[in-house]
Amino acid sequence: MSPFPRDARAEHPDGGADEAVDAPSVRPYMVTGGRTRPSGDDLPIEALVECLVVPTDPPAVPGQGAGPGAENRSSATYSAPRLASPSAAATASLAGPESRRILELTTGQYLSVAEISAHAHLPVGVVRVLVADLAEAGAVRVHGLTQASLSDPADPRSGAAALAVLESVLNGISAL
Amino acid sequence: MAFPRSDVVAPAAAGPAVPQQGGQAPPTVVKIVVAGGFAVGKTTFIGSISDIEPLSTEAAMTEHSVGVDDAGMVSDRKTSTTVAMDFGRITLPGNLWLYLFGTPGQDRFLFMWDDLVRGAIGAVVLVDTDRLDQCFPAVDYFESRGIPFVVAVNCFEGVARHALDDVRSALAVPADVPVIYTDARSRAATKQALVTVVQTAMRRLAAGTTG
Repeated sequence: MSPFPRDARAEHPDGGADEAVDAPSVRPYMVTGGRTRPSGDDLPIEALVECLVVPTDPPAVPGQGAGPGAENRSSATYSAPRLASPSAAATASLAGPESRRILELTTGQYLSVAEISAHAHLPVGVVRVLVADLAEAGAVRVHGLTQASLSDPADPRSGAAALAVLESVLNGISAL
Repeated sequence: MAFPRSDVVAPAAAGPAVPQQGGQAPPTVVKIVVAGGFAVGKTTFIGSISDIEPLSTEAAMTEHSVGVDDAGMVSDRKTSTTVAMDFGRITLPGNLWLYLFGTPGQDRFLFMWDDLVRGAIGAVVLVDTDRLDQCFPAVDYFESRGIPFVVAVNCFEGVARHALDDVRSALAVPADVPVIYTDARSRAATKQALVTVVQTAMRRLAAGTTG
């Protein structure tokens, strides 16, 4: 179960701090349903994200978007997540304004997790979780994961591949 | 489950899939880490060569950030904070994107570096000779993890006040670690520092693959 309080306003983590009910933003980890790690491997901060859906559409996708309560997703949903499972958390996060912002940012251009964090003013950890959810739902595609390990000592072939990449980088920088 | 990789993710799940961005294949991404003491010129270094205006990202320091973002209430017993990481990007021929990530410049953020350096080509350790000790943690870090790095003495005012050999012996870096002068404000000098990092990484890689 989520370590989160069921209702942040009624049960403030700080022990009763009086948060305005109409606060314009939610706490970053509310957005992710309390999860701080992506459901799979950590995304490198330089991994590139590509939007696969039309961002004006609801970012819900087949199999994820038609669940009960899908039509009620409003900002209030994030303040009081009642999440049956991590996948429910994932589904909820897909409908949020933060996820829509990620889809907007990555439409028509590849953008790294770090750049999304900077442009959307979201912590890297939050972007990772949301992008992982969006990727799992098929709304975005993530690139650049295979380059994450430039020199894997366990794989002799990776050395040659890494050298080729480094050669290109070297030539590219030299030509700047 | 493993994170869906770009080469295996099923596009069929995407519904109304749009073509890839402008039909262009995704760039190959690589990164170099820029480390050094606080205010040694990392962001200047990145900005001198970046294609984009250097950006600053919020990196949550811990997993315990929930509920403590209103500093007014909890500043006296804050259990976590966020720290900005500056970064830039250079577009290289061959559809290559090189990211430059500046490390958070204080020792207490060292634990964040694992994430930053994972998969990096290597690192530039920027050194201010007036505050040489500030780069010790970075040198120790990259050396202990076998990450290729270059010590770049940032010459403020363009004056080399310390002989490079003195810096080398003061830092006690191995002979295969280049110690060079740089000027964080100069595109040409920054470029040369990056070239040196890549060359160092290539030497390391070649040595590793042949024996």
